[in-house]
Amino acid sequence: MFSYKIVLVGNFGVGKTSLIRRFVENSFSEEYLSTIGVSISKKTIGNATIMIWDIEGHTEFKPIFKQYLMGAKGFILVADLLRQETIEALQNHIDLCYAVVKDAPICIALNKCDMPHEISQREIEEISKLSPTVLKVLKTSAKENEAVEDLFLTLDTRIKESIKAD
Amino acid sequence: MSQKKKTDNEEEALEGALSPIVNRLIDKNFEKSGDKIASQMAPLIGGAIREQIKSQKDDIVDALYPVMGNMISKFVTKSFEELLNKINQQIQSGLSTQTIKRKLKAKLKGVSETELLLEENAHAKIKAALLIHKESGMLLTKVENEDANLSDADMLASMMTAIRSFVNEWVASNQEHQELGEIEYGGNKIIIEASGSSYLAVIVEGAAYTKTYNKIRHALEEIVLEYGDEIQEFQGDYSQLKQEEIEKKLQELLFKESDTKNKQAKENKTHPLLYIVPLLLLLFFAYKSYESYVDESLKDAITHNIVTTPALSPYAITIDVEDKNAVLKGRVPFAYHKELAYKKAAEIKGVTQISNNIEIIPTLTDPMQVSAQIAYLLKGLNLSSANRLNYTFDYKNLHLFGTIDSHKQKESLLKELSTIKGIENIQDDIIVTPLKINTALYFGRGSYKLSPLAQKELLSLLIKLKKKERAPLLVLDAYSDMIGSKAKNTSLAQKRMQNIIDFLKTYDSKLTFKSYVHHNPPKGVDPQKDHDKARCVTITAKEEK
Ligand SMILES: Nc1nc2c(ncn2[C@@H]2O[C@H](COP(=O)(O)OP(=O)(O)OP(=O)(O)O)[C@@H](O)[C@H]2O)c(=O)[nH]1
Ligand SMILES: [Mg+2]
Repeated sequence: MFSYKIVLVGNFGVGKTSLIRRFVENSFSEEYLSTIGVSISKKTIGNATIMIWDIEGHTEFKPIFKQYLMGAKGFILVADLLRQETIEALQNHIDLCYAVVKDAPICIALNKCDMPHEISQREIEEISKLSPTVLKVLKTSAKENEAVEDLFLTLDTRIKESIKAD
Repeated sequence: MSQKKKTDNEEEALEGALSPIVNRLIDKNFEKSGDKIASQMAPLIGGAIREQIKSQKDDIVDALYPVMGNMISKFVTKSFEELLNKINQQIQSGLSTQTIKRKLKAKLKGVSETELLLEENAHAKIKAALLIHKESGMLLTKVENEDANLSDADMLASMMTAIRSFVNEWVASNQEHQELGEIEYGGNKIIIEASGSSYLAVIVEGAAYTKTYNKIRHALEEIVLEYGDEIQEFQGDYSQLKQEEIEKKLQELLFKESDTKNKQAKENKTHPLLYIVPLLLLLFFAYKSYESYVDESLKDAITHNIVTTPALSPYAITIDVEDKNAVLKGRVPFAYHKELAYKKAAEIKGVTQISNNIEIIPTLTDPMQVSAQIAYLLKGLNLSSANRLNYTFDYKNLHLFGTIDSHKQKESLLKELSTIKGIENIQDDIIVTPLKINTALYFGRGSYKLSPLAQKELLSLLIKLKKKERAPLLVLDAYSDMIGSKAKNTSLAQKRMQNIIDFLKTYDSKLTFKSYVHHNPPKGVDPQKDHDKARCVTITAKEEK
């Protein structure tokens, strides 16, 4: 029996809540309902219960964000392929996560890949080099259910390994 | 690995620093010699300890918790120093030991006389207790009464942790040093008792008095004393945690009070009839107890059959058997479960009749979870802007009141609330008081670059705008420090405003602007004295077009 917490971090509107909904209840909605504060979901995979914290998207820094990140075993950082500034913000999010939980693994979702977008393989590689803790960078779509499982399961596998190793 | 080593070293250092205090505290009984303790502790505070306390609050709390309970965690925060300073002052000003003793006692116990009286007649019922990992919010273990109906304890634990973070963060930024102590809902209460790396959330029905708090504190003390290390090291693997043992400790919390009460009740009930017709009664009791033995074993058999059915095990279904008639009670989400429970009961031989009083509640919701969910929605809104929202929740009926700064926020709040199952009626007395947009940005001399501070201001402006139902026309007024030529200042003013507009537009291309250049500083600013304040662009909103 395992149980751990992960947190999704990213600017507002990038699709954090949508990715979680896709993963947890396999559904999607076009409507944008901005998350207020934090919302928590739960998903069981095998013998692990994952508590997934969805925090409101942010551009400014609030001390409370740190509190939400505390105790997480891994992070999913989300950016929107259609908004360059959300990709540029990734570095900040990585720094914040690192400051709170050192060495926690990170998966990065470049979301909304179902829409026409431009991103080169080189740029993706650069993103994956932002930090040695980055496990994987994936182009995802919550809408078309692309790479969503991969995103969460990659992180789950790594976290389980690290818990067992302890 | 290296982290482990570090904590080991820290622990050693800590032990060295703490053992003198702890030993002395254990030696001396606090109640008997409060004044002595005060004089012993006061000099220690002045030295190295103070630094330690600042940097390793959680460790200290854990180390001292078993000795002095929650009082310590309050001490370690600001009031620690304050209280001791006060004691010092009193000693110095020559108060009699008697007075100090009394004051200390009252302060340490935090009890008033009326409360002591009330306590005698109090009956608080502890329905459930959750032990939660403080940092991550993971549920370590829980116990509950059969009528507690906790539908999802993992979720509750995480939510409680989020709420604690909200409240504690808010409190911290307001300089009052106190932690979230309890959340109330309907006639129930969640009492929170925190140690360094874990906390207990205890769900109590009815009024809670000092006795209840002490009991909770005591339970946590024992757990921290025995399992503190394990809890601190908890990484998510339950096999590393002596869950069952901890559960046993918590279980005491549920039963003790009522058990001792029953015992007392029994002792008082020695009926005189017992001496007059002993034989009759004996027979009667023998028969009754045989009957109740049969009923009891039927009840056990049915209970077993139901709880071992996986589809039914999450739901608290209670079974009563009297005269071989079984009554099923509880709440389940679907008719399927109700029928299944009936079937499982009917499989037991010897039952003559089954009344299926199980209620079907389309979405099994826990009032406390509902309330917790509402609480954090509102706390979130209250934190993020000038909102002052409040609520009362009496299961299924929600009353909202206070102020919010936009219709859009209010709508999204109501929408989110409507997705919470378990709220049936919303009485909405929220008043919308629009957010005022009024930002001033300052620039360096001869510069039109946006400073990091200015960018931050603009981002918070954007967030405010995001909350409005319709983006207003933004009016920019650029003011001048009147140093240099008019032409130069005009060009600077225009560049400053363009920079602001460009910045805002990258985030929201739909914004509209109107800009004005002024050749004077803003009202009330003397350019001679305050030229920093004079080089400024203000942004205000024009709501009505
Ligand atoms: N086309 C497309 N749209 C998406 C996708 N994921 C999310 N969206 C849309 O993007 C909008 C924002 O999604 P959310 O999931 O609410 O974004 P968020 O990151 O949770 O936003 P905040 O809670 O405000 O921080 C919604 O309108 C979604 O329908 C996707 O993969 N493809
Ligand atoms: Mg969201």
